[in-house]
Amino acid sequence: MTILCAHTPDFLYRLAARQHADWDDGSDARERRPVVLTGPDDRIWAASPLALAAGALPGLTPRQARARCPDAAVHSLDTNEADAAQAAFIGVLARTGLPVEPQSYGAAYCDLSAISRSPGDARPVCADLGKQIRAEIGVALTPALGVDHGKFTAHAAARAVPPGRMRLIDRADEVSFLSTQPLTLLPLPPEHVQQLNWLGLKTLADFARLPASAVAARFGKAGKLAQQWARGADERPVRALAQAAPEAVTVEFETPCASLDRARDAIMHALAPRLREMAERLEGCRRIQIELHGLDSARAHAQAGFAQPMCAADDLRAGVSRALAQREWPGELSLARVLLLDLAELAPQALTLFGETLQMGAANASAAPFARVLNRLGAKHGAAFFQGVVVDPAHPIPERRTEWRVGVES
Amino acid sequence: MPPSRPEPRPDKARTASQRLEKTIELLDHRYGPATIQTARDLPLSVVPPHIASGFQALDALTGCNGIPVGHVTLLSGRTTSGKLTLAYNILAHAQHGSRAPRGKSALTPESVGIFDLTRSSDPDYIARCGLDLQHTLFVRPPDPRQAVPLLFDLLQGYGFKALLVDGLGDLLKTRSIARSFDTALPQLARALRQARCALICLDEPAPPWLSWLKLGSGAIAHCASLHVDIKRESWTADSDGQISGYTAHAQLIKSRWNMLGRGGGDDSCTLGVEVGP
Repeated sequence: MTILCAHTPDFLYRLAARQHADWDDGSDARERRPVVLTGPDDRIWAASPLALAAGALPGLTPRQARARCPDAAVHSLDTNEADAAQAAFIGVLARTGLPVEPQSYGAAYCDLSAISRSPGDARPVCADLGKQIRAEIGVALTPALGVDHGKFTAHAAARAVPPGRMRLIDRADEVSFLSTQPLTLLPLPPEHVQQLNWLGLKTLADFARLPASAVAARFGKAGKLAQQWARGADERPVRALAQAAPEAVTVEFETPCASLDRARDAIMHALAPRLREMAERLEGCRRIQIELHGLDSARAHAQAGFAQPMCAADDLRAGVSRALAQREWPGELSLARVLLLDLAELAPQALTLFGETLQMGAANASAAPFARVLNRLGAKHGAAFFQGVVVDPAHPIPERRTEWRVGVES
Repeated sequence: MPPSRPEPRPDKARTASQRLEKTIELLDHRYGPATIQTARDLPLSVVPPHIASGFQALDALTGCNGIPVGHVTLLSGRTTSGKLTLAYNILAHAQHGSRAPRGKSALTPESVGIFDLTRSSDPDYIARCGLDLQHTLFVRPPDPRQAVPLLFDLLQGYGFKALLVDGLGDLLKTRSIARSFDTALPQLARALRQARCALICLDEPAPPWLSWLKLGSGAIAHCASLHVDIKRESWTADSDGQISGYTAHAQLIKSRWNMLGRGGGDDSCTLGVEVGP
C-alpha cells in the first residue's frame, strides 16, 4: 500500500482568519490577540496558535478557554463555510478516482496504491495534488503531505513538515523516522498519554519498546493497537467514501417515550457497544444523526456535529442531548434510529497539566457513578476498589474475556 | 412479700382516659384522622421497601416481596449451591428496579457493590447475570481487617442500593475480625436503615460441632431479618446440551415478615435459575 496523508494544520482557524485580516496581520506576535472559535455546541472548535500555546485547546468551553488564555477573543465559527472548504479539499483528492477517506477538518487519506508501488514513485502525483488543493481552497490552506505504506506513519510524516512540503518515507526508514516522533501523535485517551508521560516515555520508540503484554494489560486493545502503529505496523486500508455505508443502531421503546432524558439514555445504552468497539480501534465519529419515529408514524430528524472525531460516551451524550433538544418531537416516540457518521481516526491529544478539564461532556453521576467513592475513600483504604470490564466476551479462554481495572473509570 | 400497688381511684382513671381521648381528638384535628391508632387497628403486616429477587415463589416465601431494603439478608448454602448466582440476580434487579435486567433498560441503573472477599468474582459471569458492570463497584480490601470499616464507609451517603458480601465465612474465620464484626452488627443494621441499602451476606452452613463447642459466630444469623438456605437440586441444559442454569431448593430459615414457616405452612420453594448466554 502507498498512502498519502494530506493535512492542513489549524485548518478551521486559517479559514476563518482569511475573513479577518486583523487576526494575523503580520505584526509583532506580542501585539497579536489570541483567538478562539466556538462551534454550534458552544465548545472551542479551533484556536489561533497563540491561544493553543496558552492552553485554549479544542473541546474546552469558552469560559475554560478564557481561564487559560485571558486575552483570547471568542468568535463563532461559520460551520457552513468550513463544511464547504472541507468538501472542496476532499473533492480535489476524490477527482483522482482513488479511494479517499476524510478525517477531521483539513485532513484526509488517499490510497495511491493503484498508481505507485512505493512512496518514492508517488512524488510527482503528490506534488500535483498539493498544487491542486492550493489552487482550489487557497494558499492559506495549503496542506502538508506525508506518504508511507501505512496510515499512521503517513500521518506522522505530514505533521512533521510545514504546509506546502511533503515527506515520503520508505519502508526501510519507517522505524528510524517514527522513533524520534513524539508520543503525543498517538490518538490515545488523554489519561493514557498522561500516564505514559509520567512514566518518562516521550517518543514513539519509547512506547514501541514496552512489552506488548504489559501495554495490553494496562491500556487494553486500544493501547495494543497504538503500539503496533508506533512500531510501524499499520495495515488499515483507506476506506473509500462510497464504501463507508454507516450501520444504523435502532432503539425500540417498550413504552411510548416522551422524555428527552429517557430517549437520550436509551440511545446511549444502545450505542455503548459500538462506542466501545470504536474506542478499541482508536476511531470516532464526527457527526451523529438521529431519526425519531412517533407513535402516529410521524418522523423527525436531528443531528449534531463535532469538531474532531469522538468516541467518548460523555461527548456523544452531550451531542445526542443537543440534537434532541433542537428538534421538535413527533409526539411520543416509538423508535429511534441512530447513525454514527464520518468515522475517522481519533485526534491526538495534547498533554496538559490539568487534563480533567478536557473531558467535554459534564462528568455526571451516570457516567462516573463511583468517582465520589474513589475520591473520598481511595486515599483512606488504598487500592480496594475495582471495576470489572468485559473486553472480549467471545474469547475462548474465560480469563481473557474480562479485565480488572484498579480504581473506577471516569 | 412485696407491697401491693394501690389501685387507681376510679375518678382519677376516668380523668386520665378522658385526657387521652381529648389529646387524640386534638392530634386528629391537627394532623388528620387516624394519626394515632391502637395496635389492634394496625394492618397485620407491613411490607418494607424491597428488591425483587426475580423469582415469584421466593418473593412470596420471604413475605416482603423480595429482599428487604435497610436490613441484613443472609443467603446460606454449600459451595455450588447457587446462592451466589441468586445474589447476582437480586443485585441485577436492584440495579434495574422492576425493569428487565438483561440490557433492555433505558434508565440509569442504581449502584451496587460487591465485597469480593474471596477474590473469585468473574465479571463476565456477573454481566451475563444481568448486572451493569459500569454501576457495579467491586471492593477487595487489601487487608481483611479493613472489610468492616469499608462496609460502614460505603453506607455513608454514596447511594448504594444493595451491597453483597461474598465470602463472609472466610472473613469471620479470624477471631478478632469476627469479634469486631459481631460487635458492629447492631450499628450496621442502623446504618443500613439510614442508607436505605440492602445488605446481602453469603455464608456457608457451619458444621454442627462448631456450635456445640461454641466456636461459631451466630451473630449474623441472629441479626439477619431474612435468612434463606439454598440447595442446588439439578443442572438444566438447553437444546444443545449446554448447561444453561440450575434448579435450586430455597428453604426459609427466618423471615421477619413471614411466620408461616413456624406455623407449619409452606417454608420452601423451588427456583429455576437461568444465566444469560
